[in-house]
Amino acid sequence: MRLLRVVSTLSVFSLLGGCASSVSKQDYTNYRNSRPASILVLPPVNNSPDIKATYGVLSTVTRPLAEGGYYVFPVTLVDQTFKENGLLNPPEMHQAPLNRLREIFGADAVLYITIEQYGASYKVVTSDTVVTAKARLIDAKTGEQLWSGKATASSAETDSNNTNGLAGLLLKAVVKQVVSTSVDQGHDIAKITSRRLLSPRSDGLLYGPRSSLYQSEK
Amino acid sequence: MILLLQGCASQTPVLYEWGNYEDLVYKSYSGAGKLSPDEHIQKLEADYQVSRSSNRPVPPGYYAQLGLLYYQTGRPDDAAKSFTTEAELFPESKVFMNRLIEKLKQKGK
Repeated sequence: MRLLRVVSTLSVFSLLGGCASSVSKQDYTNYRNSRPASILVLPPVNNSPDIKATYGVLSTVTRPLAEGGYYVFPVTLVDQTFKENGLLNPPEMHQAPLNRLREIFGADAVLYITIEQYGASYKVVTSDTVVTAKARLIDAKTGEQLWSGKATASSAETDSNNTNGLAGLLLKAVVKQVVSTSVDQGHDIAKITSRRLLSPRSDGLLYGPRSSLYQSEK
Repeated sequence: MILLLQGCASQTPVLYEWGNYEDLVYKSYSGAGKLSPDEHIQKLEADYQVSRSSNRPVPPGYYAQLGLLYYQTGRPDDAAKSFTTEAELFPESKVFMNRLIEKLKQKGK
């Protein structure tokens, strides 16, 4: 009986170890020293052809970051403040000097997001809605990079129903294009991309001070 | 043991009552059928009721967003109050909120 207990305790430890032990590709030294509490997310630079991408993604970033324990500056007011200061589009906003950002917003860290793909990607037999974005977290005081990452999500992940033959596939592609544009699927997929990109996880952002898991990472 | 195992995959408890905060941000930017400031205010205020009944706080940015909308609809005093509330709930926002309140005062003169 006692042996059994020891064995089961050991196995619990090894299993628990298993989920924290994935080797990190990130160097968290700067991040841990910086301990940012607030994150200023700049309107994302959009490298996709869809003009809805910047705000489609900007409107999905607050939740994963705030639930991760950070204060996130109100995205619409940040956008408006840039525009009032004559910086009208995201590439210009991303050039703003850090000391100015600190002065105006009082942010600890700044998140720069670039959208690589947004919306329907038309292939020969299928059209998936894909949102891919990458991000860099920069210390607003020192300018050091604290973290960087990339994530993607696709509508193809969820609809894996097999359709018979090429005709069926073509039909499905047409249907999906109509559906995709009508319900603004880009924004829905962007929510998943942002969650993957910005929720604390292994190789991802660390938990912020407002999370009960703050500084719990090994 | 099962509890412990779930621990490593589990979600931490949700910190905020999100309501429609983010979807409303998106709608306020989407060209046709754009959300008007008045509608936006109504929906955010409805979210506040949900937050009260669920006993979970509104998210960061909620009061600041309301403040912006109050300002846009000609209610500068309510705007200043909202910015103050944001700064009280989230001192991380103090620099920015104070700046906005200062601007309101200057415009009011």
